[in-house]
Amino acid sequence: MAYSFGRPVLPEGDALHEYIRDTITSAIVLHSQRSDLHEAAAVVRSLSAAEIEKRGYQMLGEAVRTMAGVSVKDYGGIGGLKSVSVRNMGAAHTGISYDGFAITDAQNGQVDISRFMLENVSEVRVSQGLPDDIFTSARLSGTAGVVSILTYAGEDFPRKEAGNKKWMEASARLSGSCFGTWNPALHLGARLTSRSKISADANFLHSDGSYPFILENGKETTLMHRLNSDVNTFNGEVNYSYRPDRGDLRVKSTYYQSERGLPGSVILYYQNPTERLYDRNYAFYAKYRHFWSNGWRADASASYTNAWNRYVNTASTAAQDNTYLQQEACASLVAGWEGASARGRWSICAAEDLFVNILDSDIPECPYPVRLSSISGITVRYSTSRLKITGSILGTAIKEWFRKEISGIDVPGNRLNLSPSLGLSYILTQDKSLVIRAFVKEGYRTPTFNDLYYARVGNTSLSSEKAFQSNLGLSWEKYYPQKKIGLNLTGDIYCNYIKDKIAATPTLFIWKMRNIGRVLMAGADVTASVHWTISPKVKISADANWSWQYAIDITNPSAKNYRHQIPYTPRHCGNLAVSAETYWITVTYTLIGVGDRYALPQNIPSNLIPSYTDHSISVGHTFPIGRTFLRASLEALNLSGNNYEIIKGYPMSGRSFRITIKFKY
Amino acid sequence: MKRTKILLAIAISMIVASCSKPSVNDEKSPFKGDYLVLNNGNWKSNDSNIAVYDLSSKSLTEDAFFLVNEKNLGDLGQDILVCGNEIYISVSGSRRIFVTDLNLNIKKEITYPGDGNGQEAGQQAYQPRYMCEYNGKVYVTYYEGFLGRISPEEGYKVECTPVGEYPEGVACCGEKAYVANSGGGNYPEYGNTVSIVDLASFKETETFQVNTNPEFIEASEDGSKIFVSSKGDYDDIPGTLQVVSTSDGKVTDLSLNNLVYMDKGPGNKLYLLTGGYDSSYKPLPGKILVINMSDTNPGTAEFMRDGAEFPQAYSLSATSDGYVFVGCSDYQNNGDVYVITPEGNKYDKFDSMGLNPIRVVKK
Repeated sequence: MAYSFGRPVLPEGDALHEYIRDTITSAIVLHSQRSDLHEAAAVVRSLSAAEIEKRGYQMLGEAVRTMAGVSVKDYGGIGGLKSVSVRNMGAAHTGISYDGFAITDAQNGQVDISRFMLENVSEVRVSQGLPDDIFTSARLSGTAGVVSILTYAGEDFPRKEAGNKKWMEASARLSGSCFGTWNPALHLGARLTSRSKISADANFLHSDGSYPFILENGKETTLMHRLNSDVNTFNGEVNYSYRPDRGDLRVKSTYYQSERGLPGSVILYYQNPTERLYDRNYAFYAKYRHFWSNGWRADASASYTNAWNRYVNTASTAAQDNTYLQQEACASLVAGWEGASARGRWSICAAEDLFVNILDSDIPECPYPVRLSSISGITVRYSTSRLKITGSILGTAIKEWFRKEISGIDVPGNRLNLSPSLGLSYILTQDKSLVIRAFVKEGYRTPTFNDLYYARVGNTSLSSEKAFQSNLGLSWEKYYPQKKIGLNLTGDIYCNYIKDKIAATPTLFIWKMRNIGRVLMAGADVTASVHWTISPKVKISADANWSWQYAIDITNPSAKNYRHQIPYTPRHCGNLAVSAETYWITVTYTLIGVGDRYALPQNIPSNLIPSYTDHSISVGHTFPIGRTFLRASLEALNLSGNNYEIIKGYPMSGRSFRITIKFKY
Repeated sequence: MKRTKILLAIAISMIVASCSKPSVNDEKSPFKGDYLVLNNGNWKSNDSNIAVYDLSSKSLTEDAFFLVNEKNLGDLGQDILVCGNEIYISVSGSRRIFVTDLNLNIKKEITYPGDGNGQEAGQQAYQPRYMCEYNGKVYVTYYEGFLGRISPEEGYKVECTPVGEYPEGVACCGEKAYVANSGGGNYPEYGNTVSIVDLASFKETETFQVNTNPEFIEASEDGSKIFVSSKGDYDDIPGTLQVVSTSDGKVTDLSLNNLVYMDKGPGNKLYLLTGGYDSSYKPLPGKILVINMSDTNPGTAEFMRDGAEFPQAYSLSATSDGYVFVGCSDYQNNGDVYVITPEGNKYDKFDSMGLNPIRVVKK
């Protein structure tokens, strides 16, 4: 396996030993030598492929929900919609980056992450604040938080280490789990020349999804099954990379198709879900990066996304069958210079993203909008051996027009937003173990097409929703080579403020989107991890995090929910993962705990969604068979079997098991 | 209930046989108060409930239905009706009508079509909306396009007859039922008809045209007029109130554009609630107007003595003793209910302990 971070030199050994050592050391590397995370001004959480494999995660949602400060709205089941939010700022304030390309949804503003499998993923990162790599596309810099998915596609494969003549790699995996879930996946990669490689991935997922749950209605408890919860998903992608001297070209094409039932919320006395969702999505991405010897560098990239979906409701009183086609074309340029002066290093970066979003839909009153956006950013960094200061300013200009005249719907005015940010980190101790970090950032979210135009509810006079973030934190980490113990502790406190929050509010009989909300948030995230290599064959690790969040609605002093905790935001939540990795077997226990939440703005008992814990265990082992590896793993998920709810009315599945077999060459 | 063909006998039966005053119930009531407050709840949230208000002590028992039955009402309680010694509660999202005694003990759960027993049963059941009582039977609109008739004395047997699309309000008089065919689910092509259903044959005999998107219907005591409120298309066509003569079908527009709710009170009075927001989302005054339904040319008069306005006015209920209850809601927090005396004076205000207080009845 290859990892995206620096790999320490390993002693020679047999293949399996190397494989395990690789897994073990990668985790140490992750937590003890990831200076880019430790010394960053931004708050960055990361999960490596090794961690993901150890814990048995197969879907992005499973992985990110365990990261500090990250929450996933999950409507339950394999095919259930899942959206991710950082520090409960909302999914629309959270960017999704896939190998550096922004994945967006101009219509809904939130990306359904249920489509992202972790099969070929080398690392998942969630960052808040300014990206530590300042050579980032402008549009990803503008969001409050970014979830980055990095795949092996961009990795140096095959290894260039001496003696490695392997020119191709392949893996095949099959997972099966309860409720009729099957997930075969295939990966092929080959070196074409010494500078180029190509790889392809295919992943199919089927789930009947009809899991049982207990419905409690006062004194009545009924065993029921989730209905209309089936899903069929296919994901495929082809990647090509070419690395000339001082350059790096990556080309990526993805295809995604799915059909799923939407089980809907559980309605008392009546179960007859009638909604289905069909998706078909393809995209092309290309990026070329070049370094010049005089410190200059530039990235040029282009992408095109075509996302079609169809929503069908067959209920007689809510019959609907509509299709939506979203297209996006994007061109992006990032250019910068890095150089050293006598006292420190300077980095300067200018970035420009120009993209156009188009929506075609057969819903009434769809004006076939076209949105042209330009996001420009300038980032300057000054760093010494201890200090890093980064400042940036982003400017966004948006113009929209319609391809169809609809009476009563006006073209929204042009938008201009400026969002400055400043980040700072300082290494407090000589051995670099303690770092203080801080950032302030102003972000915004542009109203989505739904906010602006959705039948009856949309409002074209909306302005952008603003989000102000500030963070102050400490990161401490140390590796004790004699004892082979790596320790890492971080603590951050933050204060965020959202104004002009876009929310639906009632008007005469119908709802209208308005810039009405104000939310004040204060919170703390604490993480701790220990990684201890007891012997070359045994390693124990534990990662824990805890978040506290006070997020209150301060929109209207006379409303009954004034200063109440906003919906779906627990005051406390935490995660724990404990692993024992041995030469023979790896066992991981994970615990998710989420406190009480409220489904509606008012914090009263009838709106309460009770706290829950989710315990899961993963057991796995890798067997060498000649030059190939066979990995077998078993996960027991949600051991306590509690049908807890993340979204009110959407019970999660109880205890379930997943078995995975993977061949790797 | 016997039917007669003589108009006089009908008139008598309307007065005598219809919801006669309940006898005092021997069972100990777990709550104090005579006014049942139905909270509609939030869509798909199973949080509809009934609170009971006691007028003299100004106190409220929250979630009384659950207290008595140890189970929830379900999703979107739409209407509540007192009929003799029974209470009918239509729960639209849960597609169920609960029939209880006056202490809210469940006597019968009605789903139509299909069997209402068990959580997963009744998959095909219709969504009951508004109800009215006539000659001892309960009439209910089903959003799937039907008018239902429930016969309590025949084991709550349900009959259904097709009417227009997405029917809402229903009123009965003169052996006829009048049903507002809102067409609300056919956005943007709303309905604009009222169905007349002959109660003897229980068949729709004719329809007549009213303003776009009719919602509530009330009949005057003598059955000579019906009043139809409509919501319009939320765009170019405003809502209004229309009065229809049942003898010649003449429709007169009373031009009330920001009508939110209406209800019939004792003494042939029709209470109207205005409110909502204008096109730029500014709240419009929530006022109570009253109409004497027996007037030949009915005009509106302000009901509140002090001309008070109600913010975020959402619903109005005129109870059988002349008290008027105004439900106010911001659609995200528990509602407020104002209690107004028959003379038009503010008496009390309470938190409805539920979302969207849609209806108050006196048992």
